[in-house]
Order: sequence, then C-alpha cells, then structure tokens
Amino acid sequence: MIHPHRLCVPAAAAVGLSINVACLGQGGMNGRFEASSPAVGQPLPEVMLFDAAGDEVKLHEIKGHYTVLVFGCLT
Amino acid sequence: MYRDYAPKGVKFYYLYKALAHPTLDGYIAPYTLDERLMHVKEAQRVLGSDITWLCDTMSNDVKHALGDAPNAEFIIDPEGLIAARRVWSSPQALREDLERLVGPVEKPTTVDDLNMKRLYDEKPAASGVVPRLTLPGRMSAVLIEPQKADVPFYVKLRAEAEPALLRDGEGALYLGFFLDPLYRVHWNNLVTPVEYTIEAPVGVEVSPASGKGADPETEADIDPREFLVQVKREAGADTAEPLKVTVRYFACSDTEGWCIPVTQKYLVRLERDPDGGSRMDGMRRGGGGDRAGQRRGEGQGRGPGGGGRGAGGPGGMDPAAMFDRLDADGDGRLTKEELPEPMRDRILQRFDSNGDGIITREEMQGD
Repeated sequence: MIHPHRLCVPAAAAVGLSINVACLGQGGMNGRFEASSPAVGQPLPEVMLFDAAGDEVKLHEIKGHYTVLVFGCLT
Repeated sequence: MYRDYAPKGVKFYYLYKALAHPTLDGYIAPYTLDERLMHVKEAQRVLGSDITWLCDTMSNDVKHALGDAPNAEFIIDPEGLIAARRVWSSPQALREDLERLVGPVEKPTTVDDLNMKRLYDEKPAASGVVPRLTLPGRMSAVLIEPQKADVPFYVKLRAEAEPALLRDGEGALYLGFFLDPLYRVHWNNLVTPVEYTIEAPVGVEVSPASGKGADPETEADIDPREFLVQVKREAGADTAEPLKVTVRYFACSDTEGWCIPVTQKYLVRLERDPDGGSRMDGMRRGGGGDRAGQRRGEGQGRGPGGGGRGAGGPGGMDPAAMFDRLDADGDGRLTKEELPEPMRDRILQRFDSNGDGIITREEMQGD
C-alpha cells in the first residue's frame, strides 16, 4: 500500500525509550532538509523532471496558481 | 484536501521519488526511467486518486534539490515561490496552510468521505516458504550498476554493506535478489536454483565467491533469494574497482506461461548509496529487529521480536541496533543533529554519561 501522506508516528507516546522505528534517524533528516531545501520565499530550483507519460517538465515553471507538491513512492 | 481545494484553483501533484523502503512488498528500486514510470502507473492504480503524478529523474535531482526527505511537502505560490514547506507531509498542517493562503472551506472533506478501498493483489505463487536471512546488524545500501541486458531485470539486486566494510574494507556484504512484482514472474523450483558468482578486483577477497539459492519443495514461489558474503580488501587495493556480480535464474511468467533462462550482470561498488533507502521488510537482524517489518511479514521473518537486551520499556530496541539506526553518517558518534527532535533531550540525558553532547556506542550500550 503506498502512502503519499505517510506520517511518522510521534515517539512522544512511547514508554521509556521504546522508539518507533520509523522515527529513528529523523533528527539527521530534519537537519539535511533545513539545510538543503529552498526556504519560504525562495523560488523552486531549476531542475527537470517528468510527467507520467515520460515527457519533461521544468519544476521552476510551476507557477500561476497555488500548488501543493508532495513526495511519495510505492514503499 | 484535493477535493476541497482543487475547485478553488489549487493544483496538486504527487512527486514519485526513489523508494524510501526498498524490498517492502517486494518492490526494488527501478533501474530505468521506464521502470520508474511503471511504478508511477502502479501507484496511480493502487491509490486510485485523481491527483497528477510527476516523476523524479533517475539521478534523483528533484529529491536532492528539495531537501532529500522521503515524504516532504511544499506549497508554491502563484509567483512560483515557496509559501510553505515541511520535512514530513502533514494533512492537518497542510489544511491550516491552505486555509491561511487560499481561505477556509465550509465543509471540509474527511478521510471517511473519500471511501478509500484497500487493494490486495492476489499472489499466484507461494510466499513465506524460504526463511529470511538474519543479518549481523544494520547495513547500508551500496551503489549498484546493472549492466545492459536483453530482457528486463525481472529479478533485482539489493546490495548492502555493514559499516565495517565501508569504513575499513572488511566485513559482510548482503546480496538480495528480489522478483520485481511489476513483471509478475515467479521462481520455478523444478529447475536450477538461482546462482550467483562474484569476480573481485585485484587485492579483494570475497567468500564465498559463488553460491546457489534456496531450493524449496514448492514448485513455485516469489520469496527473495539472499546471500551474505565476506569481503576483505587488502591495504593498497584500488577502492574504486567494483565487484562484478553475475546472477543466473529462470524467470517464469505468472500469466503467460513462459519460462526463460536469464543471465544478468551488475557492478557493485563498496560505496554507500545515499538514495538507497532503508529496509522495513521483516528481515531479521541479529541483536534486535525491525518490529514494524515483522508485523507485516506474512509468514516471512518470523522469529524473535525486536528487543534483544532491551533499551528500556516494553518494545524497547536493542541499544546496538538503535545506535546503528541513528548514526546517519556512520562515524560511530551520535551528535544532536542525528537524534530525533522529540526525544533528543531524553536520549542525551539517558546515555550521554560524560555530558559532552555526543553519544558513543559504548555509552549507549552501557559499557
């Protein structure tokens, strides 16, 4: 089952140091994300990607309306 | 969210990226753009959503450019500027952002309103008949290069190395050969089992350099065929030279009745793959376990649950396994940045015995 909106279960509900496996390593991921993703107010980077048919799309040309972009995959 | 805000002119895209958890449900990282687009099609089918999918390049350019997180979320404004971003998608936070930027909706759609159905694919061949391998501990995906082949890679290689191998040139290398569910093939156990051979460069020893996979009594199955080999690189050996792995197998179609012999080759580099994702597929690890994966095991990976020596509290994780999981850069030290934010203070308080803000493996294991 794919989970484009999979949420990491908060470990605050854990007992002792039972740690939800999905949350492990999120500290490093937070840091990497903060450091390497464009900040609020900045433009999208100039990279290419593809549509479902395999045609090229320019990421930075997404404009003209509000757009929600969510990363996901089959697993 | 899409139901509520698409009518207000908001565009929605799912962006298909490198697998976060390869081998889960049998899916292995695609080798070509065409295969990744097959993944997109499968994702569209399984999710059944009207939201448009985009697809990252095979060098994962968009993932790298937008923060390298598996489930990140962005809102872009009409000028093409980032209006909101978060490392992990959150429907609640997304709704709050859209209410702020676009305006509230009178009657927000709930998940129940969507009437989503779970799809289960029928598996035509047996699964859970070949026991999963027990690994020595946490391992990291390494770079592989499939060599040109005349037929699709019905079987995909997942290669992982233990930290000592990557760091010191000596240690265990995992080779997992997984049937790609997109091609709907199975192993034919009436013929020769899967066989691998490894050609090592000068100065590198691999043991065993060849092997055959399991040969269960069932006529057909879809379980992965897994191997652990020991690799030792002599001092002075060229670290850039890859291992050459050849695999031979019979691929049999689930639906079309054919069976063909296939030989495929890979180069395996002893270098961590930063886009290799992490395993959650019920494989057993020595000293601990992936409890989430074992719950999904469906007959594979049955064995002792996670816990090992127990890091405190019911369901606690073995300290060594927990350390490996947290040590993102593999340097043997946990810094504050590597600790999950909600638990950072508690973990430091519990394990940082000398108070220097860094947790060593010895401190976590209580040595």
